[in-house]
Amino acid sequence: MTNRTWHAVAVAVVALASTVGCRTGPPSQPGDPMLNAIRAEEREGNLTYVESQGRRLFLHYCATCHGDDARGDGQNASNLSPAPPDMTARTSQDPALIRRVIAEGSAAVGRSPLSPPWGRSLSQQQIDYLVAYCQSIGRKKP
Amino acid sequence: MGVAVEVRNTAPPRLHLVFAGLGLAFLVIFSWVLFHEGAAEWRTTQARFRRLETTVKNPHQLAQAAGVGGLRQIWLPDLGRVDRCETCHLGIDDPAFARAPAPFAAHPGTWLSTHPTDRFGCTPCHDGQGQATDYATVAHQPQPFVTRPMRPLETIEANCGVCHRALDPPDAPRLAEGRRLIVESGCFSCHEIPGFEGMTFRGPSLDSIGYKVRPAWLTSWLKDPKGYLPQSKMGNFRLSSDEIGSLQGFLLSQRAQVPLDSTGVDWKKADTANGRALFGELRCVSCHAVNGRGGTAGPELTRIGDKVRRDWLFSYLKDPHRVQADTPMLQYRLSDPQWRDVTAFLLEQYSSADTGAEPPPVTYQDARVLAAGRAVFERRGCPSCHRLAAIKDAGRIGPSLAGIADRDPDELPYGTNVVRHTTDNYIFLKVLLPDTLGQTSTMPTFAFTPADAAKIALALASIRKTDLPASYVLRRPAPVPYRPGGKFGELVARYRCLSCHTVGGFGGDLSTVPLDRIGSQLQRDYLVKYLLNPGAVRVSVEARMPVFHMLPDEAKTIADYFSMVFLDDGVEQYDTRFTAEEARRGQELYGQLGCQACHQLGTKGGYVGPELSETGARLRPGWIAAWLSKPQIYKPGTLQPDYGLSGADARALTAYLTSLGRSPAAKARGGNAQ
Amino acid sequence: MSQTIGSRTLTWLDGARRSVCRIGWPATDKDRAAAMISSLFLHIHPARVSRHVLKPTYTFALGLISGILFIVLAVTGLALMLYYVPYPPEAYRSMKDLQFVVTFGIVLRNIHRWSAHAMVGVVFLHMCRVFWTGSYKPPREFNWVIGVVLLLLTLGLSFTGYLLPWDQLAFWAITVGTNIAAYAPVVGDQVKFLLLGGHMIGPMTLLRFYVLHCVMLPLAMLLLISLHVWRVRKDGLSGAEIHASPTEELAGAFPASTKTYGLMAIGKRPRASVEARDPNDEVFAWPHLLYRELLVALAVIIVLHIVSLVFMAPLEEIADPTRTPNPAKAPWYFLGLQELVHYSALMGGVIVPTLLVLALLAVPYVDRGAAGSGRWFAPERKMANTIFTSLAAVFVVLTIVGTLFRGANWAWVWPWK
Repeated sequence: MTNRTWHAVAVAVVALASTVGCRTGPPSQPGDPMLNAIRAEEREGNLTYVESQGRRLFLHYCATCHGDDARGDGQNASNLSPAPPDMTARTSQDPALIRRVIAEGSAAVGRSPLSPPWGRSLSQQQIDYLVAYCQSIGRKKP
Repeated sequence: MGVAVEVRNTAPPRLHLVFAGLGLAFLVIFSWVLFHEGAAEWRTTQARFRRLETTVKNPHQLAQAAGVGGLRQIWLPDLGRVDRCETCHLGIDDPAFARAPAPFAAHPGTWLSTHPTDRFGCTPCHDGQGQATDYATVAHQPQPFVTRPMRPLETIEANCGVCHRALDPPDAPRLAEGRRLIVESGCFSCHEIPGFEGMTFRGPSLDSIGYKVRPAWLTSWLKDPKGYLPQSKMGNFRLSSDEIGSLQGFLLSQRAQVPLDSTGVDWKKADTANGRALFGELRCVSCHAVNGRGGTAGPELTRIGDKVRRDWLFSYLKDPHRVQADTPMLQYRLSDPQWRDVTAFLLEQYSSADTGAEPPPVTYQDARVLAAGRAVFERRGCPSCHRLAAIKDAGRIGPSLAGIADRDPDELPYGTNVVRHTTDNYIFLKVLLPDTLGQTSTMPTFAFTPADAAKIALALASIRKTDLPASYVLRRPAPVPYRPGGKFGELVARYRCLSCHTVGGFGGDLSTVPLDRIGSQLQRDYLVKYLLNPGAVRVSVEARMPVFHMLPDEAKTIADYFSMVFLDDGVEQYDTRFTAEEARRGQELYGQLGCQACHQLGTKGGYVGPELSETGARLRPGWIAAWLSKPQIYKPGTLQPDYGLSGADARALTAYLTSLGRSPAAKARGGNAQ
Repeated sequence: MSQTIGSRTLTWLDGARRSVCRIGWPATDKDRAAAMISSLFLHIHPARVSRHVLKPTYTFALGLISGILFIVLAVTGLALMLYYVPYPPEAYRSMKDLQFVVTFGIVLRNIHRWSAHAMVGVVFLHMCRVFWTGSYKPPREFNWVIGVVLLLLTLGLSFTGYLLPWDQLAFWAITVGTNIAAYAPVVGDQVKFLLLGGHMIGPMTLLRFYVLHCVMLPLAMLLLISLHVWRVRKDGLSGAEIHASPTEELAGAFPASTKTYGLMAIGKRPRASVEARDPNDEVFAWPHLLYRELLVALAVIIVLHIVSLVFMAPLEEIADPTRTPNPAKAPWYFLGLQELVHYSALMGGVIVPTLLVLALLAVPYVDRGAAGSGRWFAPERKMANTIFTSLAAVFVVLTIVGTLFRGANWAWVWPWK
């Protein structure tokens, strides 16, 4: 039985006149502006925390070729043949495949060697973030 | 037994009734106590877990699994904590429960592998009352008398910062951004902030400001710096017009050093087209932004014409160190007419249309105004950022922020803001709206966005009073200031190498190339060539090294010093007698690994990394091999991927790259590129 | 053979039983009377008691309840000592462990806490009852003095125990409490230093209070309770003489007897001898008194359990000398004093409490007339009762004001707001 239930039982059974010192859970609280500011920023980016971590890494490591919005239009894209794909066109992606391409390079899945392997440079956690971001790319804004 | 006492003397029956009633009540109450203990929340939770376990695991795994029963706790004597969270979070370190519902789900991410629970427990990161064993008292939500309820994930990075004291903690972007904003905003000029010791933040010194700026500009600047220049680092001090008037009078009367004599300059002959060309060649935009583009190391120049006086600007460009000894700006070698052209170009190009003629400098004589201005200057802590010889720096004007996160939230002021009383919210409001907390605050309003203010608050919320054991603290020692002497030292000072480059971590972060092992990386002849006429090594990087108009002797001095002192012994010893087979194999690898995706060779390839066609004349082979093998070691966060090359493969690539761009004579000598 | 072994075993067992408990289960009144006299625990009762004693409205069993609470406190206190570490911050952590992991820990702590509060109140009421019935009249003058000392010991025990949880409530209540002590002239600071083992509350204070709370004061209390009860036993309950009118309610009347009890004859008592009493007005203590005592004990324990299951003993944040709560309040039974201190430190902290204690001690020697003893609010004692009642009422009101009506900076607040 939770403490809350206890309190409910207690208040019901012992109808003591005392109203002082008897707390029934925290009173309704005013807001948390700091938390709200961070949440507002998250909402604006339409990304979860994990995805936004991935986006940060994506902008640093990937965007020069893949483009800031993963449309395959990075500033280096025109030098590449085959050109990087427009990732926004895909709605669903197998996370295992994405992970493999990021960690072992596109050559590992039988494509061109132009996308290098990041498995030794990035931590497992960072690759998780990148995978999460890649999966979010096709998602429509609400 | 005497007959006399045979009369039965028993208690009245109603007492038996009372006894029965009380006895029953006692039984009921005692069963209640037993039930209370036996039906403890954690017991029912563990029962639910056992049921779940049978659906998640097969019989073999179940047989292997350690049974759960009883309280589980992690004792961290070093941290003075006992965390009993695992009493209910039973699947926390078991991947089989990755998709299990709360509270049994495995911990997301790889955090537990980098922060094993037997060393870090749970509450050092999450907060909350670790000793508790039911949902409510653990303070998953705020609870009375629990000082630190569990942090929501949005602000949890504040707790990363308790141990990770370096400025750029890994995988904590909000914390890192908050700390970056603190450095950028110079909060530590006015506040002592643990973790930012030894850092300085300086605005320009004001000793000669009377010669430097136009009065109209100073008025608008003092009123609202960001109104004049949104990127300004100076906050709005919310000065009254009286205060602005007296402060302006005080400042404009500061005229310690007369600008260099520019009477010999014929301003009528000024060629703004030449000035524009020089402005580009000198790479001013590497540090100074114009119209929103360019670096942030120096002040924005977009409206420079509204701000400064012509004579001062000319004088400053010609010898910035004379006017302002601590400026990061370098001293170029240009002639007076060239500087005249640049000055004229800047004042013409970057001024508002309605800028009037330059008024002559005025000497303010009203002693009352000057005294009042001086009082404002001191009261509002201006000397914390701006040096003024006439005023002794009284130290930091703001209170120390040591232990700020452990202040009693109920004793902090919140003004009229209806917020929950937490140190987080207090810090946030103080950073965002310092004048709304119900006290007359001397802290300026910096006009941060709420999101930025939240990140700064988050970074400050990691500054706790409690001292962790040293083994938990990750701190990067403050870099040792590097001040070379001799001819080389003079050149480093003149060209302000350390404004952009670092040596042993000391210096600016504008350049991507630290100088620590530059002599092992680059060939001496290339260094000389490059210093005399810096070109673009990386096409995609906007900030470039300025053209110093350096003398050839100076370039040789620097290059020699680099090649003799800034060496990496681990890279120096490298057998450079490559075979043709190695070079051939290297060329093959170059294609197989997809190097051309980022590097240009001739006209083919990308321009993310440096162009490689001159590599043989540019880089030293030992460095190439070392870099290709473990790029992250030399430059964390580099875009050069680690391919996990074998020693032979790295050597083959080095052989190939070394063969590129070498003169036929050098090739004939074979081997060492030196 | 086997029968012999069987009977010999039985004889042996019976012998063993007799070595422990000299008489068997008393089946007759005589045996019971003998048991009352020969048992260490039971002989604090006389074998026969006046029917008047059994009347709940005369004593309200307040002395008995105080005793029961003391036993409850001793038992739960011993159990709590198994988990308690008298050193900060482990002291606070052991409170948390009691709450979260020790089996029945929170119930134990709650019972101990609420019993302690209840005891302060019950002992105070007991004193009021004794005054209002004039029971301190000769020959019981000195027992009143012992009672007053017991009241002070009860407060001392409660006060020293208040610090032990080492939370903010404890720390600041004791800070305020010991500051009141420091208002005493000349020796005030020395008394405070002695109490705290230093100039402010720290680990030494905690250890000191722990030893006082667990060893010194309970021993003193035990000694004085024994003395207190022994004197009641010797002097008998007040009012028995004047209430000696036979009633027919009781089931079995004790047959007339002219016997005097030898044991009683040893004690040289001026009055209230057994012979002076009407045997028809008396009943056997067993079962009439013992049974009722058992019921009272049961009721007390039940009430304590209910209260302890419903109301958690408070535990705030860990003590932090740098964070002063506003208002910082002493334990509730000293809030009357703190309220007085608010008006005048010397008055509230020194003069009033000293005078109160002296006056209480002097009561039986000032109010010496024998009249009015043994009856509630005897008209002969109108004057004494009025003075005492007014003073007690003033103190109760001050305590209530200090407890409920004082907020930050000791400003007036309404508790329901």
